[in-house]
Amino acid sequence: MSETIHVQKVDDYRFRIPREGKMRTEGLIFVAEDMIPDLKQDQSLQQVANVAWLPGIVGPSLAMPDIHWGYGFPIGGVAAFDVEAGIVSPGGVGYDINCGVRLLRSGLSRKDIEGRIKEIVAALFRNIPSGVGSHRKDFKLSPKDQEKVLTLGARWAVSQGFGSAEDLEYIEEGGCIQGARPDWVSPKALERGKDQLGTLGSGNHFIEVGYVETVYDPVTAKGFGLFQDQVTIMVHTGSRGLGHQICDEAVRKLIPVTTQYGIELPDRQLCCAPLSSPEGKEYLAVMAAAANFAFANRQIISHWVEETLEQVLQIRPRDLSLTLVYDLCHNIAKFEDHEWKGRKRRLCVHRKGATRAFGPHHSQIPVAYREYGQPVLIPGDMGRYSYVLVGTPKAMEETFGSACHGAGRLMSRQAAIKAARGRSVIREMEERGIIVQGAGKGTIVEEISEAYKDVAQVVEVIHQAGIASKVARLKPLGVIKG
Amino acid sequence: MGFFLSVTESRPFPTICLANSLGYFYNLLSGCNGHYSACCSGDREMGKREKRIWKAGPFQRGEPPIRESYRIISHTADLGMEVQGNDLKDLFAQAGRAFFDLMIGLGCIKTKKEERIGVSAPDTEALLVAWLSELLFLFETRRLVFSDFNICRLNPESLEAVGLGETYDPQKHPVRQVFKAVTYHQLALWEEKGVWKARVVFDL
Repeated sequence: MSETIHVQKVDDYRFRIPREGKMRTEGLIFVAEDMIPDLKQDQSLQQVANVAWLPGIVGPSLAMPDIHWGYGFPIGGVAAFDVEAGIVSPGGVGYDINCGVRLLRSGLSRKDIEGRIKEIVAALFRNIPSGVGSHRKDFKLSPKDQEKVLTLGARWAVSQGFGSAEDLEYIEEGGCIQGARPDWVSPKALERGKDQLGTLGSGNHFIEVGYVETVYDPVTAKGFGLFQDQVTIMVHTGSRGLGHQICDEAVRKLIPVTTQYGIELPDRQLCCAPLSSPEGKEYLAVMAAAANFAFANRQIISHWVEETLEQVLQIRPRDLSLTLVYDLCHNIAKFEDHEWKGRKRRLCVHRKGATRAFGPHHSQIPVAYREYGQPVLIPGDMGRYSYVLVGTPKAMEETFGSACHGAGRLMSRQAAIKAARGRSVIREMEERGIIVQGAGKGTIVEEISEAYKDVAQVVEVIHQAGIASKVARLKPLGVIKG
Repeated sequence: MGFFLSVTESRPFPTICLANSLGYFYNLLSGCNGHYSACCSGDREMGKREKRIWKAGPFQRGEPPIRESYRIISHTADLGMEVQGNDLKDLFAQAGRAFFDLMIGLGCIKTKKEERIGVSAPDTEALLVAWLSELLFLFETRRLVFSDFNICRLNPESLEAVGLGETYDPQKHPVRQVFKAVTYHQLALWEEKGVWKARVVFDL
């Protein structure tokens, strides 16, 4: 447990873990004071302190308000490393490499789909593969194509007719991380990924049909193309078995490598390699391949979502007008240029269960959004709401342009199952106006709202800390889960 | 997500097992803990003797309920489990059974086919992760589900086994949860009063 970790208040939304022992820097957690007792119930604060041991860390070991216990790095953790002296750690990315989320906006209002949610959800559930072993018969990936997916990411998907070239500007990194080496990806990882491109996956992955319930910042909302009651689609998925296998193999490979480089760790799951080492470069190259797989996955699924809506609603593409607002990564390590303590630096920023949140005028955000900042998408649990925020200059100063990624779990899956005993979760959701359909027996039950922190609380911390600002709140109408 | 597997042995250590010079890791070069006729070659006699010994114990494999062999440990985002077995080989076998029990439920899985499985790792704890990872790989890529295992050979860094199971059928095998990976989080393997225990966490 993290009860022995000392936490000092900096202000109402920032708490410091002082540098102690072998920590090379301090920890900095963005959280409200009343959330700290929950944090002390698991090892998340200890993990923030552990990350601070890693060599070449620049700035503090950061944690977002949705922080919870992970492997090595906490989920909700951000850490940046100097390109010369720093390391890369698969645990700082996570098993689901480039698990991420995208938001699509439509030309429809909530009233346009009133009474048709069940039909839409059923059709999405039919058309988007989500259960174990499910895949579409009309979509087959040859080994040559798989290599292109891993190299080109969403660009490959667009070249095959999934979405349009305009989408790429609205995806983090243009939907493709450079430097991927598919030839370094193991046969086992390729085997696991072979039939999984274009599938949702299980656990907390979902497709959500919702609408814009509240607009907080009308100017930015308009800039993002959002309006009150607008129908939206959110897609949350990642690199599937391919990414999981790559991470698994990387962790196994790097545990002894960490020792060879003389790096002392409090937790073997922080295993790492110097960024300049062959092992570090190898991990980055295969991680990029997995990230590109995930970008392609979300691009393909979005296309099928669009087709499904056109079929069910019997409307033309230009009337549906489904357009990508933004697509971003939750689990990634990337080279980025940041200014830290007055000095421009090239850093390898690890975000594990955290989101990029670049402020206004950054060259890496779409031209149309530059005066506002980068959209930050924060999905909540399936029963409450999700948020759209915008990155701020403060995020660039304090968190290497990073923010939270979601609600963060509060309750274990077993506790959730126990809490839901005797209840019909699907019926409860329907009574609240949300239609849910899932592939896995226990998935819906495990994903009940009580199992998650209230995302409004998480977002409020980020907003009040000035890291990202609220733009709009979305409410779910229909959800499909794997 | 994670499962902790802890194996507990409540009977004397089987005398047919050869303890290696490292002490509590024993090298069963020719030992077969099988209950099956289709065991590793050369091990049939030993298997029969072992079967007689094992029938006396409380943790005989193949007998329900599997849940007496493992318990779930709470973890915020994932699943932990502790499993117990009679010896190190049984630990690995019970770990595999618990893996499929948690994912699908052993009651649905028939033993229609056999699959030889071999893994290696730098140490025995990592071997447990490698073993369960291989089962996950076989499930995802070959759609194989298993309800029992014969661990034919086990040494500190490698394992050979035969899995008994069948091909996954969504109609017959409703999935309770799908694991993304087997992690090293809180991984532990230890012997306690002659009982083998292990703890593993799975990423969900």
